[in-house]
Amino acid sequence: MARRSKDSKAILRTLERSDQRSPLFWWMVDHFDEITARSRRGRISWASFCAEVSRQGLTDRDGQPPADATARKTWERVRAAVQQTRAEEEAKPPPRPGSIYPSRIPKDWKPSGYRDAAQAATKPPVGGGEISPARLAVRSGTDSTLAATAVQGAFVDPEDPPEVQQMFLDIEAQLRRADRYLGTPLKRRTE
Amino acid sequence: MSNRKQTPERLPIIWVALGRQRVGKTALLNSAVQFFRESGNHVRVWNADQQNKSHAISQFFADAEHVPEGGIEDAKVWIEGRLEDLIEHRYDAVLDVGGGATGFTKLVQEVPLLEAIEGSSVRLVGLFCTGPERADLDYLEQYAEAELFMPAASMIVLNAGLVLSGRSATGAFGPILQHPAVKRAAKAGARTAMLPHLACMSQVTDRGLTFREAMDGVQKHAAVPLSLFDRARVNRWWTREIPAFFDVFPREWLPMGGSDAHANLSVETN
Repeated sequence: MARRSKDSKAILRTLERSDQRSPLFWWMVDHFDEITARSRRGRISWASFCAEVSRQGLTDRDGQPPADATARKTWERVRAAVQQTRAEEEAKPPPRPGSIYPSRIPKDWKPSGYRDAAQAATKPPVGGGEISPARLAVRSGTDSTLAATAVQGAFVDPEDPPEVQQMFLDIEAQLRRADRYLGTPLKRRTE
Repeated sequence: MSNRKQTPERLPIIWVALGRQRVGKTALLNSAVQFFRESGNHVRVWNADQQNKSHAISQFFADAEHVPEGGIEDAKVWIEGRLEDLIEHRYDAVLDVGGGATGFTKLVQEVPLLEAIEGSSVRLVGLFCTGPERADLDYLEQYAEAELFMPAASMIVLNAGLVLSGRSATGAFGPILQHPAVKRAAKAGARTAMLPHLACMSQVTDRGLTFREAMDGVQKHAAVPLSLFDRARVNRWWTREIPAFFDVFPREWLPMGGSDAHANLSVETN
């Protein structure tokens, strides 16, 4: 259940938070699994539900406390939206680096920032140590998004001034730290 | 309300968040004001966002000054008045201009705003907020390329909260960082920083809580306190990730209280 709930929340975050929807709608989206579990145990009393959500300040699209029928219809719309989003997510192919597997990337491929790997190797960025051709290799345990960003220094242009190079190295480090914290899966090749 | 005099080395600072709607300008400024005020600097809060009502920055700060009802022209006049007041009385402020066509965009089109402000010994920090969508850079392109508004102190803020679940921040923001507008801005002196994601941000803001109140389990307006895990999330975000975020800013861009505020900030991130 915990795993299911975690997955659901991840999918639900992909729903666009439009202002066209009421606070009640988004609350129901956020608590979709809990409401679904509750509904399985018996019929939901929409009157009690409305009294409680009104007390907590949730409103319908007009900013009014929701009526029983409004809450029920909102729940139907939430179910439809969530089910559609889940179906779309499940229909998507597993994420991979663009349409190119690392094994298909040409041996002489270089990230756009590196117009000349030899030049990069001989011109170390400030504070970042030496950039060797080895760093340009796509690692086997690569990120599951873009091959172009799977190498350190992918955003650095060696022709930029040192302070600009350093700035791009810094932001890249921030992003990678966030990815580690967020637990973006580092998928290993199985082929 | 702070009208404290600035030392000669310390210019008054105004933070202006820019970007299209729903890229996190208000969330950024809300966090920033709380952070600066915790450091001892009671920065002023100006809300010129005429579109955003329910999550306007005025909702989070009772002492916020907000633009009167009216059109873009009224907003422009109001912003002008606030800026003149800041230049005269030398304090720090944050300005939420909102997205879309605003009084601020009208103002920068009409007058050389940067020259006027920076020429008055006020440091203007431009915060260009962006998510991973290409269109999020429209403001940066528009302001920078037309030379309308590109402060010497400019920060491109990558909002990690806008990265869709399942994507890595590095992959999501890759195209943004490789965009010519960002490259050009970087060469002109702009910096970049990643605003960390807080999964339960709306749980905090919907309750009208400050981040410290949220992590301390404070209950307001008879709302249910945050769950134990959400409190832990806020705790980590507020005490570790947000200080690390502000640590990326040059010290002179931060309206922090106390001379060693930046040093304290670095210590707290360790």
